[in-house]
Amino acid sequence: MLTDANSKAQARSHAPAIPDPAAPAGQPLSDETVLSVERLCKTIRGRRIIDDISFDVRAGEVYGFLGPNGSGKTTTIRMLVDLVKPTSGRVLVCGEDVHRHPDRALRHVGCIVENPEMYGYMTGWENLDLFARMQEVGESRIEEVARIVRLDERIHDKVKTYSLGMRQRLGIAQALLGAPKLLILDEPTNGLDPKGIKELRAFIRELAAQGMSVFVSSHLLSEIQLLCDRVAIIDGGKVIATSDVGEMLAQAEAHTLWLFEDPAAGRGLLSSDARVVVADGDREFLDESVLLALPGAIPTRVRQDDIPDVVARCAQAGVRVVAVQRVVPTLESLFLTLTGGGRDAEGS
Amino acid sequence: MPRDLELIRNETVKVWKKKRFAVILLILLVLVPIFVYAQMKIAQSSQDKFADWRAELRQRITDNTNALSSDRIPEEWKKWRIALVQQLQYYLDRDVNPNTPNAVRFTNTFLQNAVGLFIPLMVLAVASDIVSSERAGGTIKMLLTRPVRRWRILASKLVTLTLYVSLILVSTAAVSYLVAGLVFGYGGWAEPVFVGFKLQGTDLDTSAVHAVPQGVYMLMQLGLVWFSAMTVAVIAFMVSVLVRSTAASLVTMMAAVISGSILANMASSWHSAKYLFNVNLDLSVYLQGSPPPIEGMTLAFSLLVLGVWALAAIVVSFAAFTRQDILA
Amino acid sequence: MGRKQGWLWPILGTLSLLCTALLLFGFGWALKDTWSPSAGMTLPDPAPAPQQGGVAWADKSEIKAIAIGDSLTHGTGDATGKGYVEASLALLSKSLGKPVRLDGNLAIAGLEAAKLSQLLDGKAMKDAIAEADVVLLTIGGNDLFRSAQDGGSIAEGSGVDPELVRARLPELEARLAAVFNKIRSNNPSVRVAYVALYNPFYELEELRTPLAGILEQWNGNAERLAAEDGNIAVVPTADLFRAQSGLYLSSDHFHPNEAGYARIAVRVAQALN
Repeated sequence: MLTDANSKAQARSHAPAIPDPAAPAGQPLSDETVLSVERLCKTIRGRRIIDDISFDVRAGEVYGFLGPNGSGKTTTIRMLVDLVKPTSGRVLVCGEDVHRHPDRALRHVGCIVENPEMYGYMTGWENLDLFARMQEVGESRIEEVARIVRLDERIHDKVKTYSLGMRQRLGIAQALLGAPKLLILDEPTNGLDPKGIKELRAFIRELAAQGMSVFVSSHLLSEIQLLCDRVAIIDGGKVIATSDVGEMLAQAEAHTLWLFEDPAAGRGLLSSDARVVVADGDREFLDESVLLALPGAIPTRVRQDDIPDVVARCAQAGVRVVAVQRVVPTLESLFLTLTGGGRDAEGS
Repeated sequence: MPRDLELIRNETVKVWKKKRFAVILLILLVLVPIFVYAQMKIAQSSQDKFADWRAELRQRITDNTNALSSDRIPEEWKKWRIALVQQLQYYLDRDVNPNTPNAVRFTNTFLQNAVGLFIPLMVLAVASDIVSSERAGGTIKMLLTRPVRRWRILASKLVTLTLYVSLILVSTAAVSYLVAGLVFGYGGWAEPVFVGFKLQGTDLDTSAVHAVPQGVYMLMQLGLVWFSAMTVAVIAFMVSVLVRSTAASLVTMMAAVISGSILANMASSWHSAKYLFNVNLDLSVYLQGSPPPIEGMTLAFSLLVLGVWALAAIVVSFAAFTRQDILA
Repeated sequence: MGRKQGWLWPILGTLSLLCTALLLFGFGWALKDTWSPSAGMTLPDPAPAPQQGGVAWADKSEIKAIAIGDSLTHGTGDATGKGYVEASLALLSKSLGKPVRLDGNLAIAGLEAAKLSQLLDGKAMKDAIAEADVVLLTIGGNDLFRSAQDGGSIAEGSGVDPELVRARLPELEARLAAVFNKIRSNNPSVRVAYVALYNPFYELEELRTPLAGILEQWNGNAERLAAEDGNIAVVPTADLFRAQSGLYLSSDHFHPNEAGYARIAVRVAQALN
């Protein structure tokens, strides 16, 4: 999975992005910048919820917005679509200021903020018709988006009879009505079953392939990893990094789990190897399901290139290796890297 | 403009699909027959008791005159009775029956009694819900992220509210007329009603009194009821923008309307209460020539008070709605 | 797939817009009518009520009665509020063997003869008298006792000065004559029962004799007027409230109580038939 994400990111090979949390305002807009967030701040009741956030999203890319719950993701997204007015800073969509000219800027935006809430007492069609009328969209487009999200069979049923997955699809249909240049999805996989999540990912990639920019927020690194080209990481109301997903993952220290027939001998061997750092203390950052699959495994930090040599050395020493597993970095381990290990992994 | 019309269409359809209006109609269809039945019983008992309406009217005048001589009745009741006695006398002297039982008369009386409480409550069913339900349901996020300015959205809701208030009032009159007609007959449009009584202290000035057909009286009364219903609707609209929960805004407005109808009955000595909107809701007293709740109130005064309240409510609604952060 | 409800908005929109226009029009009309009223409808002149009479009671299926006058007819003092009127008509109905309908008790507490005489000029009272077969009447008590009042409370008899009344008696008697005349001129055939005055202060010895003289004179005058008219019965009540007056007077020591009214009712019924 990891290699898959990496190769994909490499294939797209955007300009290498060094973590750049405070891009200067008034940066010249390139033609392909669809969303530009400039020094956004929001203070609510004296508390600075969002502190000087800046990032750009380009045409045709899937942009991840990663952060633990309570980090300010939703507030930022609400500011992107004019639901919340920023205290300072601005948001440009296709060059239009969202808060000065929402009627012009939001024409290019489709969004689902948190759950896709629609009018339950009306049918899916009536809901879409309602939103279509707000933005000069014809009936043929309603049929089209209903087909795109494969809701055409149930489109004339009341929304209150829909499952969560169907509501999500109806929400996306609504967001696509105006043929937006930018699609904003807030935790889109929340509450979906694995099959639904998979379908959604494929769907989002398809939209991006057609040239639409998609802005996806998530608190799961794996989600971003599977879906996005670039990512901004937010924590405590600040963007602590914006980067190419591949680069970022390369930066994050990946862990390798070792399982030996004789754990004591194995541990001794690994500890004596200069290329390997035994990191029992990092256990808490690792995905529990992975640890569960390999009970008694020893977490280490080691470069991928060095692994074959270490395995060979074990074999030579007669220490039998049961399994070696590279582990996807978690958001917590990423934070550990980005903030130099000194931060509390809880996030908020 | 064509897009504004689409917005109004959207809002109108939403209220309709939500079955708000159906519920109001249902309430009317249940309650009006009850009132008609009560009115029928009253008409029957007076028919048994009196040879004709003149005898009944004479007795009413006498009874009210006798009640006036009692020291125990409060001053405002006295004033009301004095006006009533003089009005009834005016009808009797001109040989005009003020109480012919017919559907038009019933509708007028019903509207007159409904203006203070019943109609405001029905209006609140739409007005308290039209903004706050979008918040409660979370649909406001969809609504406000479309490329339409917020004030246009709110304006479309206000226009829709106006349309529904009108619809509710006309339906109230229509249901009341149609149901009452089954019992009292559908006539009475052309029967005369006297308007233009002016109260000068305890004396009724009849110099400007003239007769209008009951149909015209109904139209005028509906117009005045519409004005006060709109005021209630607009204030409820503001409250639902500010309070965000349908239940809370409904309770707030019901408390205001009910306390207004209580105040109107007891606040004659508290003069500054006349600047409250809820004391001014019953505009039909001016048409009838009954004494107003508080001395010194006139039609112009009440219209002005209601108008100022309504205007302020609209200003506050728009100011709040266009600035609000939608955080949850 | 394009199933849509095309009918809802056109109908709903048009209908509600029409309603709004109608109500705005009504509102405008109400303002115009209040601030610059037009002449209004022309109404036919009120027709006088049809006259009763000419027909003997025996030929009628129902006798119509009205009651006019002061607090005694209104029933003040009777805890049940009925007074003598209904009871006497019930007795009359029994003796006549046909229904007697009370077409209204138009008595007003505190009424004086002068005011009643004025009311009898009004259309309401004229019609009421014209339509009636029987008029029950009490009047004069307020005229007499208010004239006699010299500042104190009537109920205690303290402020009553008989001499004040005596001087004004001719004037007061003329008022009674006017009442009788007006009733008669409105309805030549109506039978009137006039309940004469009694002395509510009989138990106060210092007032007993002087008041007796005045009441005798008043009631005698009423008898004389009745005799002139021929169809007015004066119902004597003075004797009913002499002995044990406490049993028949209400707590205000002025008006009869329930039992007192019952005694009056019997006499009124007898006087009418």
